[in-house]
Amino acid sequence: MKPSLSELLGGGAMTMATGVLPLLEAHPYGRGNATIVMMLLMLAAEEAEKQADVLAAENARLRGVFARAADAPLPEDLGAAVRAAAAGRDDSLRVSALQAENARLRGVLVALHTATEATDAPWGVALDAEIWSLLRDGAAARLVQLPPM
Amino acid sequence: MMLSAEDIARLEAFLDSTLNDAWGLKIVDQFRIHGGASRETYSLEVAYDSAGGPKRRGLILRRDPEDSLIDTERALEFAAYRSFHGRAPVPEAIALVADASVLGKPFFVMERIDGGAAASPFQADPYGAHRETIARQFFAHLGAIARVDPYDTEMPGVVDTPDPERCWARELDYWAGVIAADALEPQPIVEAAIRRLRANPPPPPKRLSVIHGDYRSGNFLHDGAGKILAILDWEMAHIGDALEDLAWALDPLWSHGSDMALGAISHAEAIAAWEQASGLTFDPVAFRWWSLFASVKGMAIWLSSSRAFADGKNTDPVLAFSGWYCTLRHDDIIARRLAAAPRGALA
Repeated sequence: MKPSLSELLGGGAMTMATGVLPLLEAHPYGRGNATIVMMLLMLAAEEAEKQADVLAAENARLRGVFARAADAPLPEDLGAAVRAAAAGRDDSLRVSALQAENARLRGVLVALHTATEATDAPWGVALDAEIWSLLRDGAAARLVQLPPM
Repeated sequence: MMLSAEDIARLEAFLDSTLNDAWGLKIVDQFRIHGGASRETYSLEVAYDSAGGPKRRGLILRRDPEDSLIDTERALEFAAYRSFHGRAPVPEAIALVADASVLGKPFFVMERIDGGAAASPFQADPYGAHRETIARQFFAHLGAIARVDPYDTEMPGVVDTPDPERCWARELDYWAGVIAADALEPQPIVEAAIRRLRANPPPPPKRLSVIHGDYRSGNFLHDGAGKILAILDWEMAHIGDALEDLAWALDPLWSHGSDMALGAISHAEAIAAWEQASGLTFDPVAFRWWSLFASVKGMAIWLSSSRAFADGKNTDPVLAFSGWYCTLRHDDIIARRLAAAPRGALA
């Protein structure tokens, strides 16, 4: 069993805190940079553990929204983009692939969200609410926590 | 990180010819101060002869970097320091060089305020037992800045004076443009917030004020005993609606993990201190717009940080941190707010 990526990054942060920062007392600029790097390592330790899961879950939920919007009276181009996005899948669990697909889906979401805001029809109101629920939950899921300082 | 020997020699010659009653000037100590990703900031200790005998003086040098968090003109920041020195705890601006003739990049020099420290905006309780005292001063100083007539400052010479009816549109257009230019991927939350802001414009201010532009925890020095010594980082100063600064100062990102203003006092108390010092009346309708705008502006700054770091223009880790952590925080702040708001409303 080898250390996980999160453990490696967390260990690096601990080394910065206990083995590097104390040596930089007389170098405020370097100490400041080292402190930020330590914080980035802490964030990365959390991100490494959850990033693929967060992206895959969000991509699936985005496709669910698009599936429910597939029959909405959208402009032709947007309707086609929504249906295509709904039919997609994550073929790779590499973070870069998940991110690329997430960006593609979020681009379609911006256009769909704009369209729902332009109508008071029940389908638009319902989709608008569902999109905000998705965005709220997605933003919360992506958050990374700084340790108490 | 230090200035080069060549830079020091040129700077010594420049300061020797610029400072009044000073000759034989030498820079006897210098180091770069961390945190100024929008400028390279150096602390200088200079020694010189004067009519009254040998003297030493602390100075701050602010020099343009290759890239920064914020794209602004150094003349603007210099004018802001000059405008508010003596009206609020603001260091004295001493000299501006707006071209590359001395140090290869534009820079300005100002008075160094000793004995103070800036808090990390992400520290839980940076002001300790003095938190309430500091917070009351913080909002009173902001009110004092808002009270000043912009035409009684140097600002109209370096920035546009907007039509009060268009303050909001000018700011929103600018920062929405930054997001459109710099976002590395689609941003559905802030894009929705921008649409919401455009659909609900605020009432105009009763009068215009000078806006600091980045008035928040972390951008002032305090003495550790309950006194604010210096308000810094005026690089985004402009003329507009004073609620812009108040909303930025009260943004949840700067509340040190609490729902209190500066992590210390209620929003009502902060607003009362601001009203008393500014002579302005708080408009809750306009404030709802400016408070959502504050988070949008924050997103623009953080997305620009991400872009600069990803493009390799500036590898300062502050940009990586801002572009990551602050983006996620403001995305969450906006999403929670608008998901809970009535459809189409600001809150």
